[in-house]
Amino acid sequence: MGVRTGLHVTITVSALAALAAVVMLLVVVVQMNDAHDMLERDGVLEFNFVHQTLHALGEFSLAAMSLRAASPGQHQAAMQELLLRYDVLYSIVTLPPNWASSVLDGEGAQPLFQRLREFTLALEARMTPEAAWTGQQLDGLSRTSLTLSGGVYEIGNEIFQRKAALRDALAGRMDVLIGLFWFFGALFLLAGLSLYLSMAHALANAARSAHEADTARHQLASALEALTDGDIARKARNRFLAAATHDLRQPLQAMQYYLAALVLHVPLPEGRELLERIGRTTHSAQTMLTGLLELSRLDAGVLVPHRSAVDADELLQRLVEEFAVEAGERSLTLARLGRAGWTRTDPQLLERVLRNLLANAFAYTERGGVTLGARRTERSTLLIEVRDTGIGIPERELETVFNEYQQAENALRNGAGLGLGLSIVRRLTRLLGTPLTVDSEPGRGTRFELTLPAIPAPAMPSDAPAGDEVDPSPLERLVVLVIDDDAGVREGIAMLLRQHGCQVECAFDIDEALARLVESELAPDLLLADYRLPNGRTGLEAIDVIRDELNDDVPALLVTGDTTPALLGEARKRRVPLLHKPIDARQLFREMDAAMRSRRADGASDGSGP
Amino acid sequence: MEYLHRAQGRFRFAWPILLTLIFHAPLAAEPLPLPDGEVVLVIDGAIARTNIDGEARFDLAMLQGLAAHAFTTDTPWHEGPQRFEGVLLSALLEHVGAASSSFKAEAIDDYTVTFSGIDLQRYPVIVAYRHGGEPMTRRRLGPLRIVMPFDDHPSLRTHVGKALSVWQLLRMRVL
Repeated sequence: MGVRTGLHVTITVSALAALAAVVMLLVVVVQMNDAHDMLERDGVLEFNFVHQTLHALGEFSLAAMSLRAASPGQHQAAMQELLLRYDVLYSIVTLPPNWASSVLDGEGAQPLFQRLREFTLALEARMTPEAAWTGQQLDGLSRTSLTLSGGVYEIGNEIFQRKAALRDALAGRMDVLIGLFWFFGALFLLAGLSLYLSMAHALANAARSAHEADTARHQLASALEALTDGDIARKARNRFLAAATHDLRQPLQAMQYYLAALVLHVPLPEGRELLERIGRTTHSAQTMLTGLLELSRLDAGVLVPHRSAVDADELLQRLVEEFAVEAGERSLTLARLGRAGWTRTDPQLLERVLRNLLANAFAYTERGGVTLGARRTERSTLLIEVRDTGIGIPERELETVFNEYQQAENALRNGAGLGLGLSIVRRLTRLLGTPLTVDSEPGRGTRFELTLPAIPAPAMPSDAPAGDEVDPSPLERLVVLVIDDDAGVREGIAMLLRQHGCQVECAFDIDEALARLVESELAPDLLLADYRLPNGRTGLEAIDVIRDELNDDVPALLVTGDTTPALLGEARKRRVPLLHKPIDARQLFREMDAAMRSRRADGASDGSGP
Repeated sequence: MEYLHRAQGRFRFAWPILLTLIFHAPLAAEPLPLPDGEVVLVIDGAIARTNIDGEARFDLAMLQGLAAHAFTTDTPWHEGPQRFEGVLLSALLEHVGAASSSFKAEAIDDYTVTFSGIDLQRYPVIVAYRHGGEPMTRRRLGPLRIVMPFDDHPSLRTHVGKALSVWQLLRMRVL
């Protein structure tokens, strides 16, 4: 502010100074012009006139004296000289009187010139070669002209003194004027320079302000763009995801184990119902975390679809049965229409897509119901649609509906989760290369449609898993070595496994695991290692060390709360099954069972090999 | 006389530019004809053509025999515009094969001035022998008179231009 004011004052002062300098320069120039005009009148003509008059009179006087003294032989020449000098004098006095008077404007000049003129013109008649002059007359002529000459000399002197004084005055005045001229000229230049610099400064300020404004505008624009693009939301999600996966999983994992273990110890139905509710709550928390995890895994690009012939009707039937419970509870209809036949895709991924779409449909539907429809077109495509009579999606949101956390206003109140469902669907359908379209009418409902290839039914039914139920009994007497640095998780797993008849050894790091092996003298049938172990060691290292120690490729499972793509990739490469926290008991047993089966299969093939 | 010297000194140093004319060699070799009547103008100094005693002497008829040039102009010495007729100063100097266009002019009244600093190729300055159609007497500032075309060329209307307007011209000494 101070700088701005200073600049303002500088510009004003400079401009005023420049203006004043210009005005003064004009005054000085006018004054100089006046002085010049005065000098103009002070010319050589007066000088010549006075000088020539003086000279002519003197020569005329001399000629008269010469004629008087001339011998008869010299008379004619002397007479000619007198006439010549007279002519010269005559030519001077007969010059226009106004010119002479303008030249001889001094005091006494006019009467003198008048006398000179009278004297000269009076002689005109007698100035002939034949005229006879007496000596007395010639003396008179000479004397008179000398007298006049003296007068002219004085006049001349007077003129020149006057001119000299005038010149001195003018010179002095010119000195002052020239001084003023330089002063105001310099002032003008300085003011101009100051003005220029101030202007340049102001311009630079303006340019900087403009630049700043521009930058601010750009920042605002990119911020707005980021806001509309969901960039900020995505970043926030990533941070939240990291925190959530890290902090929420450990206790949730432990809780899952404890709950599973607790069921056997609760005899009363009320207690069991309470436990059931706790289980549901935990399950819903787990669902949310699973959603986040799934998104993260999809972003990591580690998921590769494994396509096979899929009985879509069987899949749809299973899903309808699954959601029938919720539909019944909420008094919504759930209809299945049309026959789907067989398609070729990744059955697990397709199931997840449909489950998410159905969950989404139920989340946003208060009245009416959900329809799961299928139909085959002539161009050997299979269309599967999930249609609801829910709140619908406004047209402007159709594009963003697949973004993370994007959901209808009231969905959160319904406890529909974090809004990850549709964004997972979008990623999965892209991964599968399955076109997904959506159309909606707000207040009337929404329709999602998947386009899949239709294939004829294979001769043999696919070897899909018979069911989800895993009988934990084959796990009995299994020796399991659990390595986890988190005591809660470790003890939870141990308790759960012991209840199912396993013999469990626990260790919190690699060294303790080795110690346990020596101590118990038991060879573990299965290793269950947490990925992140103390001292920067990893579960993969633990598995390697123990296998090395036992000299046996013991089946192993890696448990992790970490979702970094690098780890996922490494585990995949090492062919160690990866279990993401939170793990529920059924999932754990299924994986254990699978690992043991594959061990037995390997053993069998080893045995039958050459 | 002191004033005269001061004035001449001033003019000489104020106007030091000398202009050189280019002469025709055959012309330079040919002598001037002799004057029949009264000599009205004598040119001497750095000239190539002469007639008597190393001087170029002219009577009025000789001057009138050269190409005439006339104009009308106002002068400080007369009331109203006057018509003057004479020979171009440049032509006259060329006629006598002058080495330069600077000369010292002398008048019947003993007025002397150094004529220089005027581009005669550009300004048609004449040595006039007629004023208002009449030959000029001494009483009317004749018989010869240097006249500047002040009206046609106002830039000549300076103190120097006026001082160089020699009347009763008698002699030119080419420098």
